[in-house]
Amino acid sequence: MIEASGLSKRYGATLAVDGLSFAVPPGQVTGFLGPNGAGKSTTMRLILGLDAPSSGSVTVSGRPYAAFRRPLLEVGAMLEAKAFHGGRSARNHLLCLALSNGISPARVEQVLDLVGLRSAARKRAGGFSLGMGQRLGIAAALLGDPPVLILDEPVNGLDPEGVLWIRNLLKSLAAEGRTVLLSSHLMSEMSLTADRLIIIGRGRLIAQTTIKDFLTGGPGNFVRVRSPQSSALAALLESRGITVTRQPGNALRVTGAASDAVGEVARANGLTLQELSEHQTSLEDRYMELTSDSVDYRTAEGAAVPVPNPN
Amino acid sequence: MTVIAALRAPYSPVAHLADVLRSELWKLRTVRSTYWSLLAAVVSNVALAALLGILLPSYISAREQATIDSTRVSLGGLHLSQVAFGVLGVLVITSEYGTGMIRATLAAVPQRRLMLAAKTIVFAVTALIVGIASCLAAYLAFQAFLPAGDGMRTSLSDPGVLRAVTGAGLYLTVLGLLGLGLGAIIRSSAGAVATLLGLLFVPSLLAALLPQSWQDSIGPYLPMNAGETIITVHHQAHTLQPWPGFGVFCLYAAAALTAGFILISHRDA
Repeated sequence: MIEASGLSKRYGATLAVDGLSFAVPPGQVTGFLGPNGAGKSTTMRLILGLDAPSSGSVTVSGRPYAAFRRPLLEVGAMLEAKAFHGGRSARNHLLCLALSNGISPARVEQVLDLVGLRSAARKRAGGFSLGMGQRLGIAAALLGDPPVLILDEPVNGLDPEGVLWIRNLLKSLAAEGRTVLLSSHLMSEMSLTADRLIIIGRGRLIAQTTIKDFLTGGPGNFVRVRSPQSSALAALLESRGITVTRQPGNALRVTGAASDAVGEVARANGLTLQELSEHQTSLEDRYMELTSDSVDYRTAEGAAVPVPNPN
Repeated sequence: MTVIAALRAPYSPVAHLADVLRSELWKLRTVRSTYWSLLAAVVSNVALAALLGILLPSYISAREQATIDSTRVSLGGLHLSQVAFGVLGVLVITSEYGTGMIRATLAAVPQRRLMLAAKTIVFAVTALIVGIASCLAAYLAFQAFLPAGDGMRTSLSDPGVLRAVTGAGLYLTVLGLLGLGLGAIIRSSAGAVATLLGLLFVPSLLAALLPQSWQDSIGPYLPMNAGETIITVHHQAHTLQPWPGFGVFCLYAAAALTAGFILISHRDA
């Protein structure tokens, strides 16, 4: 469980994080989503105590990060890809971290196997590809077998096989009851991995919800209809209190009615239909809609309140 | 996982420091810069001393040989090795900032001052061992190459000689700690090394522009002048006595380290 309350961070004149409150429950993968520069990485740095908040607070498992004597056993984090000394081997990098938290060298070998870096363990990490660097970062995060994981853009630089591996790993870690917070600026990746979403823009919370509610909750579904008599059809639909948006090529975008109802109206009035189809706004569309429109920089109506997993 | 199951024990600051010391020692042992800088220091100390032991006797007169501070001469390699020690002291902390390792380090040890204390201890002990051993080796190498009965021959039991030789190791260690302190303040390798070298060499150059009476009163307190009193057997005019001088030198390092310890817990990493 990660809980932030009124979290703000100011760097000079820039308010990077602005009054952020959210909760990340255990047992699920929570996607932390926002455009570049939205404040995701800053928020993660605040969670780990790397930066001090200007106001507000954030706790992990009910405690501020600095209170942990052996934090790697409580929180595993991967911030930027390269948080290691390029001159050290992968094994030695992990040993440096393990020793500081009293973790045995045997566990270092376990995580090297887990992330598939066994064969490169003796190589200098400075020569690693971006993908191998990510794997080393994930190995470091898993060292203490922690109940909470925080990963900043973990699929960045991974090949398709690596992306699939990370996705399955995170899902299985969440299924074990762990708290998994995963940042990305890619909605498509989130829709495949995350159960819940925290969306921020310009440092402020836009939405905190489940993927399912996010998709179905908003004005996302519409019917597209094309007819040579589109003006007549639009008038008929509007007279029934249905919202219609006129689009180029005799097309109408109809919201608030199912395709059956639209078809029935057309048949009853003898109108020709050239196209009648139902559409669902993709997560990507919804996300773009929310984050591109500065008017919408506020918490979405009816955002679900997170329910802590009883485990 | 069984390998880490037994770790949720009551807090013990001693055990905590021991863990972080082990981690910092492993960090120091697993980067090449440690070996390169220490090797450079040892080689310049010992090789220069041996060279001077071979060449000097035939180049200076017997009268000069009797009056020269031969112990200090045999430690001439310090002019180079102090740079190596200073750079290593700087790198101990700035290499973490330069590579991004600092974020992993502070995520593992959020008690920042404890982490910096462990780094300081590990570096100081390493520097002290290598510093004293290489200065002793330099002294012995110099003596070994002097012809029998040479006027520059001294013994470790002569007054001030053992203090000067071990003091040279102390000087290198404290200079490295000054570098570490500056590194913690400045957080950039280039900036901290430049500041360290500037602090060592520039004040003497500037002081030379001042009137003689000012030079005499300020000069002894400049970092390098104060520090070098510890390696001096024949006391010179307008310098401090060995231990008070070295004490002044230690104050510079202490000031830099204190600032580093204060700043590290007040700044964003």
